[in-house]
Amino acid sequence: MGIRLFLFLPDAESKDKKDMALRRSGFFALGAAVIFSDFMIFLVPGFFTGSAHTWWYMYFMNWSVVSHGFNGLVATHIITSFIMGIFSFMIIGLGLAGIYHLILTFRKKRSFGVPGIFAVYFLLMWVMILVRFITIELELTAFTTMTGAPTSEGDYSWYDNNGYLNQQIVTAEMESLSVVIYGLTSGFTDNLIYPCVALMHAVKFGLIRIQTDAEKKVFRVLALALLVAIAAVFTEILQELLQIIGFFNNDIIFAVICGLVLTTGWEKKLIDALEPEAETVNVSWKYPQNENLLFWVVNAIIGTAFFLQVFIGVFNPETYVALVLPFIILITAIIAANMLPRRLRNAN
Amino acid sequence: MPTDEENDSTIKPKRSRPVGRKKAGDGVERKRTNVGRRRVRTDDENGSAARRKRPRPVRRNTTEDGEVRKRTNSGRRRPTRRRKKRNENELVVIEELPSIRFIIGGEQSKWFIPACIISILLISLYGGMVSWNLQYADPDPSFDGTSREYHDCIAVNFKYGSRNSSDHEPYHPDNVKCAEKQGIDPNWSELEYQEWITSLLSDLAVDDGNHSGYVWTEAGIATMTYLVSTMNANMSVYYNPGAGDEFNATHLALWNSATIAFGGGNDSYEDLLPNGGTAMAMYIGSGGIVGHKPTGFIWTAVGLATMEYLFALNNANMSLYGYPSEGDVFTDAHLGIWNAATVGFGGGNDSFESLLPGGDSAMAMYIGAGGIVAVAPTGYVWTEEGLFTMEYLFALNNANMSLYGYPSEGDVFTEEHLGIWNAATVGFGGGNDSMEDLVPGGGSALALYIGAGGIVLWSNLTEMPTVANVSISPSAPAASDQLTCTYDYHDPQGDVDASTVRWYLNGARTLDDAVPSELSTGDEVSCSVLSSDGTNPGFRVHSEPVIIA
Repeated sequence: MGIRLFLFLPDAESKDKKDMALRRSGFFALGAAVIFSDFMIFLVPGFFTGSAHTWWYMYFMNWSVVSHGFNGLVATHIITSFIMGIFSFMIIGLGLAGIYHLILTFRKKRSFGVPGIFAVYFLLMWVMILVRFITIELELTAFTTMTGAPTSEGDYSWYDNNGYLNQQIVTAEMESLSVVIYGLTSGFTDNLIYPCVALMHAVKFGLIRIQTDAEKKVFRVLALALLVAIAAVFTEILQELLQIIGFFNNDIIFAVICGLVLTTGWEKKLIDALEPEAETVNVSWKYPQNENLLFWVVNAIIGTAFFLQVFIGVFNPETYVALVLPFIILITAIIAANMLPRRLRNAN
Repeated sequence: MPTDEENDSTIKPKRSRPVGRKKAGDGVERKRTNVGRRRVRTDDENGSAARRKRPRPVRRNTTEDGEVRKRTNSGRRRPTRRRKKRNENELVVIEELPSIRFIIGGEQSKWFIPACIISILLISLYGGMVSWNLQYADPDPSFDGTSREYHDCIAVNFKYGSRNSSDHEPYHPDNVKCAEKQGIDPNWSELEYQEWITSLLSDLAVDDGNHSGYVWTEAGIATMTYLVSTMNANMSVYYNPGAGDEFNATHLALWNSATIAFGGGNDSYEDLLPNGGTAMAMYIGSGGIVGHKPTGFIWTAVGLATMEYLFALNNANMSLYGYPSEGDVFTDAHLGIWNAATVGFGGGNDSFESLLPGGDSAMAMYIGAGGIVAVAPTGYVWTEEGLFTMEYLFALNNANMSLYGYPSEGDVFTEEHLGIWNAATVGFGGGNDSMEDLVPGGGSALALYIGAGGIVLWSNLTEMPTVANVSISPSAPAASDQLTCTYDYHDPQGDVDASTVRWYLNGARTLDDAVPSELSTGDEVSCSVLSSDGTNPGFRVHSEPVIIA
């Protein structure tokens, strides 16, 4: 849906229901693609080169070569290939389709809009992906296969599933660079983009209403701060890369370049696209089934997870009873809160 | 100019209609498609969508007789009806949902969706083939067989050859056959493991005589059993340790090696303590993998308070000791820090025993009567009969109880005591007793000498009662005052208090442990309480002495 939106973007002015449905579903799909783009997307280049760090399945699939021999290996390989194929198609397709959108925008055939924000995001992600992949392949960095987190300095040896003894030496320099790149990539995705996407969706789709001029100003300032932070992440990465390859780099020069980039007004396009529109706020689709059921199911899914996280974080329960009891109390309280007013009304 | 059809699919507030067929007033049946709403003629004979034009009434500017009508004031053209302006904030709910196919692929769904699916399959196929050819098509040219045989032999190798497999049988015919094809020893796992351990220990693990100062905890054993079972291994990797066994340098090296893939691999002993800083903390939980190895000595509340006071004088804090709590193990490291920190005060050479209540530490004036450490509970305490027995036995050898440090009834029977006991009883046919052997009716070789009372009394640590805040009332007594030994009693089962009180006058036990009756000014009086619920004895707690005014 995200790729479809980039390639066949409906006329931004069109009020046709079909066009609105295509736009809306495309926005949501792109937002979801951003959220679901976990560290697997960093493995995409390695998928095409057969790089070992991409093939992470080891012990953690249902069928392993160790337990199930050749057939287990083939089954696992097919599954992993398919999973990686989906991720690869997604990130490559979104990258190329995003470029297509930006080209049409540049040629004044389209407006920048929300798809433009996502197009820029996927381009930036590709920079991250390539930086990470290249540094791994050049053995400048080392990341753990299961979590994607940096590997600490040390001399590691382990048996792989083929029964071979492996050894990896991670130097202090490798760990240092891994930490920087991991910090920047996760900082970019987790700490900048996710809040940015969440905010954008909340504003775009009317969860947060921005009506007064003061509210608009606050929103624009916030959006600008996010964009500046994103720019800062990338200049930092660029500096690291220049340092790796031995190119001259200097903070003042970077500041001047960033200033020049800002004066082109690109950030205004981004911020404009973040602002709410009457269409996204006021037009919605009726749920075809029981809306009441939908309301409770969604709230139960989100609310239960939220409550569970808060409860575990605060009380750290160590038994099932300690874990379940508060839920029973909560449900009882909710039922009581619903019943009591009715009873009181009846009594009166 | 939009066509009628386009107008129909354009949003107009409050004009949405229920889904389904409707018969319009003009007799034209309307139906809705999945997407949008459009009018389709169904009454046309040939089925074409030709639009029917309704004849409009013609307004004529001439009368029937051909006279041109004149406009008068009253006949002024009516102002055109103003179209109501749409409110921007008006909520519009579209009742029809487009089809999933349309949402995914849009107007181009017919070819776009298949193109995407084919692309995914091709990409998957390409990436999968690249990796397969590199890694698995011909994994080991020296192997005498096909790729299928090679990988099947890996499974056989791990089933029968791996020392971690429950089916470990290195000389199973299948394993021998595969090993022959692979050109390896059927017992390859054990051989490689030993080589690996040797290498690890020489490179990483500096074994200081197998005394790391840390032991496996029960939580650690349980966690490890779970973790290794998920990897089809078992605890034999760690030599099947039990809770309390030494967690040594080999264990640490193995742990770090096994946790690389999870983001670990660089933990220290301290990282594996409860709430330690290991990268595997989310798997370990709050129990930790290791605990401090018991030294036989634990921190007392008085000790902690003393340390905080001393540290506050130097603007330091207890982080030096890792913020221990009362009852925590007073480790060798703690003792080292203590000695280093007290050199400037004339200390620096204390042993654990020096820091016990009444110990000979050079810092005694700062420590007070409570001591920095207490003897750690072993679960066994001296009995009165035990002490008498020991005195009798020792008297036979012209020895005395100084060997045991002159313990009192209810004092902890320590590992050191047990060692002395075994060493001293070798000549009597003993020398190999455990603490359990010394309880009443125990299996000691010296049962003949011990008698029915036993040397020690077992105390269930989880069920034993405790006493606290032992003190003498009044706190500043006169010679004529009646003294009382007060304390707070606690029993986990809520059993009644069966504790016994012992009195001391000028450091010596009173006759029958009675309250000293004849007191003089300047006498030093103290008491101690041996907690008991009638079944389980606890540990003796002493009061601070009071001076008779």
